Amino acid sequence: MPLPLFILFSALTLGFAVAVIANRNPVTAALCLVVSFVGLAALFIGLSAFFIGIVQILVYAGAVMVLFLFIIMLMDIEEEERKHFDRLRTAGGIAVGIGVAFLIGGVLWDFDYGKASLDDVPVQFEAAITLREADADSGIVRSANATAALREGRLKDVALVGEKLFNDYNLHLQMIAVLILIATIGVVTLGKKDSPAPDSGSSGGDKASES
Amino acid sequence: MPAYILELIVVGLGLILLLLESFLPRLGAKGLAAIGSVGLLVVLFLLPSVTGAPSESTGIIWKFYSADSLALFYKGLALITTILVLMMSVVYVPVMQRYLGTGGGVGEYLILPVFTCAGLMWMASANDLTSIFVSLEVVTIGFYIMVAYMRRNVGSLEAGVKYLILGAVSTGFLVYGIAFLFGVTGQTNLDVISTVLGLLEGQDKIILFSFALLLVAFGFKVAAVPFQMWVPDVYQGAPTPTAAFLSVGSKAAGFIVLSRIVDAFLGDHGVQTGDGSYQDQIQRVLLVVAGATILFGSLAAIPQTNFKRLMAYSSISHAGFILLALACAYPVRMDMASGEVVAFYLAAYLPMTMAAFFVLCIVRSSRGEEEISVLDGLGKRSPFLAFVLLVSVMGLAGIPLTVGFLGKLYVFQAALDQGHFVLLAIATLGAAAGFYYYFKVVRSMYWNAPSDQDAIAVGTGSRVLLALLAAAIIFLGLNQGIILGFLR
Amino acid sequence: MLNQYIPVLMHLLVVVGFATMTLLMSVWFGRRSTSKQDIKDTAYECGMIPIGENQPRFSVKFYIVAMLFVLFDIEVVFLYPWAVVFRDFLSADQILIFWSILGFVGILFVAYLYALKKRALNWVG
Repeated sequence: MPLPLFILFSALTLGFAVAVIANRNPVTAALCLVVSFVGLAALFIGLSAFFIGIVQILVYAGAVMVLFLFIIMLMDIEEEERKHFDRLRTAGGIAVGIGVAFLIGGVLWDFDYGKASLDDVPVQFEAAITLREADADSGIVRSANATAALREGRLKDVALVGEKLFNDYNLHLQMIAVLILIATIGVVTLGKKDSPAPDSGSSGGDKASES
Repeated sequence: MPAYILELIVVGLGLILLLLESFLPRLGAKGLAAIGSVGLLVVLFLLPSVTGAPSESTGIIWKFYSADSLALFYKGLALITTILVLMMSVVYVPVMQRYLGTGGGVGEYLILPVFTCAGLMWMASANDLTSIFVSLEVVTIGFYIMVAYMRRNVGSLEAGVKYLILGAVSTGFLVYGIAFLFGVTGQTNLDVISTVLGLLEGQDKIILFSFALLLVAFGFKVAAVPFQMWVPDVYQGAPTPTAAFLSVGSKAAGFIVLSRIVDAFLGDHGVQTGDGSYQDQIQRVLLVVAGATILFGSLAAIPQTNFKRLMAYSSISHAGFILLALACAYPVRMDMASGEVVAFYLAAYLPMTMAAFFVLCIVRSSRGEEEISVLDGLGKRSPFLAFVLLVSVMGLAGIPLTVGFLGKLYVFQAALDQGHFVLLAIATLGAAAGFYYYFKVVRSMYWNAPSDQDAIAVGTGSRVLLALLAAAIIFLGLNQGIILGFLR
Repeated sequence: MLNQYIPVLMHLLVVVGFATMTLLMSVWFGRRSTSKQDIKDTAYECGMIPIGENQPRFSVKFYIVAMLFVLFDIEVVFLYPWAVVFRDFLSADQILIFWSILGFVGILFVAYLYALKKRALNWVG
């Protein structure tokens, strides 16, 4: 992706990530996290990882953040008080941060690709195309569009994920459906309020709109 | 008929039950349990007629799913366990209704085991890291819900939270271990991984590291020391049928997957040679964990006064015995593979544990307590219940003429063949401690004076089932060939 | 290749810039008094003095809806690659994809029916 765009979205991601921890109001912090996620999704898409980019927006910015916000609102957290920092805790936090920085630095230093640009690492399109044609001959479905795109030197990642998912991992797909079904049962049985009780809870939302 | 049809039927049954429960609420707990167990029985009868992978691999599914005799055996265990759990739940429903509040119904509690059973059956067949992970999650999430199901009961909620958090941590370890194993071998299929691991050289450390992560994850599932800390609290807090399900179903599924993974790591490495290879070290780790588990479970069970906690520690100690069998991967003289010893032990463990928990369910629903003292004088008040519990406890302790004895015998034999004398001593100590703490239950039933004289009402269905279980404990103990016949 | 997104980027800048400028201008030209005035700084509540917390607590019902939303959102994640490859599969005479997505959506449809019937999505009662 072009450098200016990369810088723009990196700045967006990092800036709002800082805002998440700098903000004292938990709701504002959560909304900053959404923007940070969107920036991250843009970075993914810039790297041609469209599927992950979309999932990032759909699941993280959409669903997970909804949960975050509702947890925050359920728990009735006041604006965080200006706190006196425990010196030991601060030192511990800084030590962990430095440790992680060293760890990441060490990995990047030893990592060969870390020194070179990612563009220098060739994607082996030819090998992939040969493999796919062999698969297609043995009766495994390989998306023709994706193969054509590979020939042009483009990676159609969503189609590649899809053909793998609906060909090889059909069984897993059904298992995941059962998994989500079980989770739905769990949400309904464990989360449901007692039915005959008057709905005192829901008036909270109404009050907000009345005032 | 290919084997994966079985899970299809079980899931279909669960869906039908769920729809019936939502649209025909007057069916009630008994109706749901009846339909569920009849359906599962049908699947159980279909089990012998299924076929495994065709010789020329036609479907891509067989890369992720195996239907060898061991898988079918564990599928059978899962089905029988689930049927018994459904029956037990019907007895337990009155206890549960007290803790549900007005908003919740009991129906889902009888449907979740069916879906979990499908997960257990998938686990039995999983021979790929991806299918292991997904099926394990199906099972675990089902258990999270069942453990916390009595949502107005603080104990149940506490158990649910503990199980959820520790389960999530162990899942993290599992994924981490899978990632490392994939990083080393570049494969997810266990058979292929086994071949690739045999070709690798000089990567012992990272192979051992990935095995350690996987062992941590499955140590949680099968309750091996030092990952056993959740077991007593969760067993005590969870609804009793769920504790039984955890103790048998979840443990059996954990062990089949663990034994498949251990097999993949050990490959066709011969008899233990002590040459310091990673296979050797894996066996040593398993032996240490097994010894620690037997010791901890047996010794910590001694001072317990709550029956469910006692069963929890006893289940830890039994997990130790099974791990010991797993560690003896290459018996010298015995004609049984270690996987078969493990399967035999689990099959023996099933009727004994189920009978004990079943009796506890009945006692609980009439007395509302689960201390051992609640059994005082049970021999006089309800001789039938007392007799069934006696048989089951005798089996758990490993007294001859019961199936529990045979299970322990095979484990001892395997350890003896391999020359693990220290482990043999520990196992003897554990078994001896077992005699003591199980005897506490017997003493309470037959020696202590009853606190009240009322007989405990037992339904006809429960009576028949309990009699069947007690008969199975003794009958299978006299005819060791039956379980072995199913295994081969 | 990403040059084609330049118009989008410019659009984005205009949108953000317009919103920012509007807000900033109201501050600049609004001649807000700088002295601290408690009454003026409180939120406008129809002339009444506001009572209570500024963040009302939400009923657990919202939470159930949110969690169900997450679950069915996961379903959509799987539908997205399906929609992309469906045509490819059909043109290769691979009808299996139809049954596999039917099973997936069918199981989740039962989950939806269940949630609906259990009144988990009802706001009142």
